[in-house]
Amino acid sequence: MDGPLRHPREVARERGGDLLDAAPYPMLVADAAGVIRHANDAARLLFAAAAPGVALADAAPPWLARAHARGTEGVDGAAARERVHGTVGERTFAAHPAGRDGGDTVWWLVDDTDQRRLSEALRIERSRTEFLSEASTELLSSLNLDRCMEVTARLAARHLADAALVIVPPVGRRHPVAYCGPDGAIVREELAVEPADVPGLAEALQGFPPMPSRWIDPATAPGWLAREGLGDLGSLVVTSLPGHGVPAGALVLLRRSDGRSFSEGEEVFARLFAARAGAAMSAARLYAEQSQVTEMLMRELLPPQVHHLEGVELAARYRPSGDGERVGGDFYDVHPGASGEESLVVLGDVCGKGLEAAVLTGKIRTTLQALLPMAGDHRRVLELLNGVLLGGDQTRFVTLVLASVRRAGGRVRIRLTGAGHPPPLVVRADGTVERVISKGTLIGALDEIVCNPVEVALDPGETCLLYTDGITEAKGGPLGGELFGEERLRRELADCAGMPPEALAERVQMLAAEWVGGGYHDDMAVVAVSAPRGAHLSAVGGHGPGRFTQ
Amino acid sequence: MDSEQLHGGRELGRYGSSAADRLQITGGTDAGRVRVALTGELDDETAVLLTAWLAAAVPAARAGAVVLDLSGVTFCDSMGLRAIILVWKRLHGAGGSLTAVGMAGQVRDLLDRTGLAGHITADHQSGAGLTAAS
Repeated sequence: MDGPLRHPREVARERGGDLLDAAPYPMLVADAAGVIRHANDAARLLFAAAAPGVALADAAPPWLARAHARGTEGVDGAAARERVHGTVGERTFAAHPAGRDGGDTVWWLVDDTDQRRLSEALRIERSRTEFLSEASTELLSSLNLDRCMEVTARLAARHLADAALVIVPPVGRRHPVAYCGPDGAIVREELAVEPADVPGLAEALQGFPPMPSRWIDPATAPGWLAREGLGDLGSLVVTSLPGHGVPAGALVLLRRSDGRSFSEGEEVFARLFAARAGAAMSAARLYAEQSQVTEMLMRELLPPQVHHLEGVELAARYRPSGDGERVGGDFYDVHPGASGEESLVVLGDVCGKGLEAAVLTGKIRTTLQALLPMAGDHRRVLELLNGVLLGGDQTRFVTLVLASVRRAGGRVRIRLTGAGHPPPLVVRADGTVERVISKGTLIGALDEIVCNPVEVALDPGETCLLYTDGITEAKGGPLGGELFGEERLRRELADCAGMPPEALAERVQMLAAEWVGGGYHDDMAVVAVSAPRGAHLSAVGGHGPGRFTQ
Repeated sequence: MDSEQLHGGRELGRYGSSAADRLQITGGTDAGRVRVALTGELDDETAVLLTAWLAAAVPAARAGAVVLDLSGVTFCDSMGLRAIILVWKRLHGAGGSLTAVGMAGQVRDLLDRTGLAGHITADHQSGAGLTAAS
């Protein structure tokens, strides 16, 4: 164009508006009475009826005519009108007013459809991201499958639909189901339903390959989907809840007929949510399965309950090193013999701690159980056990004590064989504490083993204490870092003469625990074998009079 | 005699100090014979220092006589014992030998009661340089 750039108003005034006619934005000039004085090409394209002399109300949409009318009361003739916004057909426009001499107003219309659409898309995207983030947090806060199902149903019903149902693969013949209705209440059920009755549900439950969501004709929905309290079902979508390799289940979203149906965007979003929910449910189920397996295996490794043998009183204590751990490298076992025969008591300590050591204790206990028929010959039992451990691929050894116990008259006779283990201590009735020396090599380290079985006899009220070095090597004390030690244990036991085995075992473990205080400690195991004081005392639960007072 | 000292990781163990602070290993070779002196505690956390030190100092192909001076060891647990057994087995398997010297207190009791003393102590041996440092 010619000349320097000047204000459009000036240009229009001079050139009769022909420049404005070519402007890409629709422009209408209307006078104070609301009559169009000028409409440019773009405006005529938008409003077919727009032409000079035509009332604005007849050519332009009502929202623009109203905005123009609101400003006609201006006092100074140059009415101030406000920018307004409205739709024309499927598009949205912002109308910017500009006052003109003589009370005319120029309306410039700017199409902001795409901008609005983007803003709205951004807002939806933000709220969805926020929701997904919250959903993930809530879903992952629990490793409980039931809770995950309920959270999934509740979140889906609240954010994605009017009601939602989570269904997982059957346990037996019934499918666990979590339903959340419009009221937000969760209903848990186990339903013997046929997934094939709902199109896409059987596939979604099989989960592989990942199924796209399926639109279902609401009229075909069975009663367990279209529930009372939801009203007329309008639309329904089935989405797979993908898991780790195995499907976690399926999510059914339900909307009332009075609401809008699911858009494509919503369906894609539902799948994003389903991916998170499925992952959480799958993790929860794997965890449940794993902990069930762990529990089952752990049960085999837990120290057994001990019961009194015929004419022999027994007590045992066990404390693994790690807080919260239930198994460790120490172990004991009691194998009752037939009436009048010897019973075998075993106490041992596998080198190392934690689960790895515990697994080896399981192997040793099982081996010793298999060798019970030979329990009369401790040397043979230990040689065979040694061979089994050397044959394993672990370089792990065990120190242990075998004690074959039987009642003989009023006394209890014990054949004791040590295998590299701290010597058992006998607490006599008079408070004397004796070490039972049965020197032998540890098991599982050397090709040849040495052992020296010995025999001890207990009079009524006397106790033989088997313990692991977790007791004597407990570190702590008043100064810290000092070993509890066998000497101290023997001095303490001297004060425990006549104590029932239950109390004595408890006392020994308590002393060691107090010694370490809050510090680290090794596994600890104690078994006390006592000769009962007499029938009249065992009748009151074995708590006979002793020098022990609590 | 060339000496070296090996320190393990610095992170504090459950005993409140790092493994390398609780077990010092010094040693060297003298006329083909390796002498290793331990000072501190030999347990599940520090035992790995001993096996690592010896694996580096005594390659399997050159396994010879190794003297393990335990006079500075104040405590040894079952995992410490395991490390000694592993070293002893490895040296024996490669035609070498392990002789432990200088045990006292809890360490001597442990080797004694487990029956290992008869296999790895120098009671039945006498030779210059094998005397305990204590």
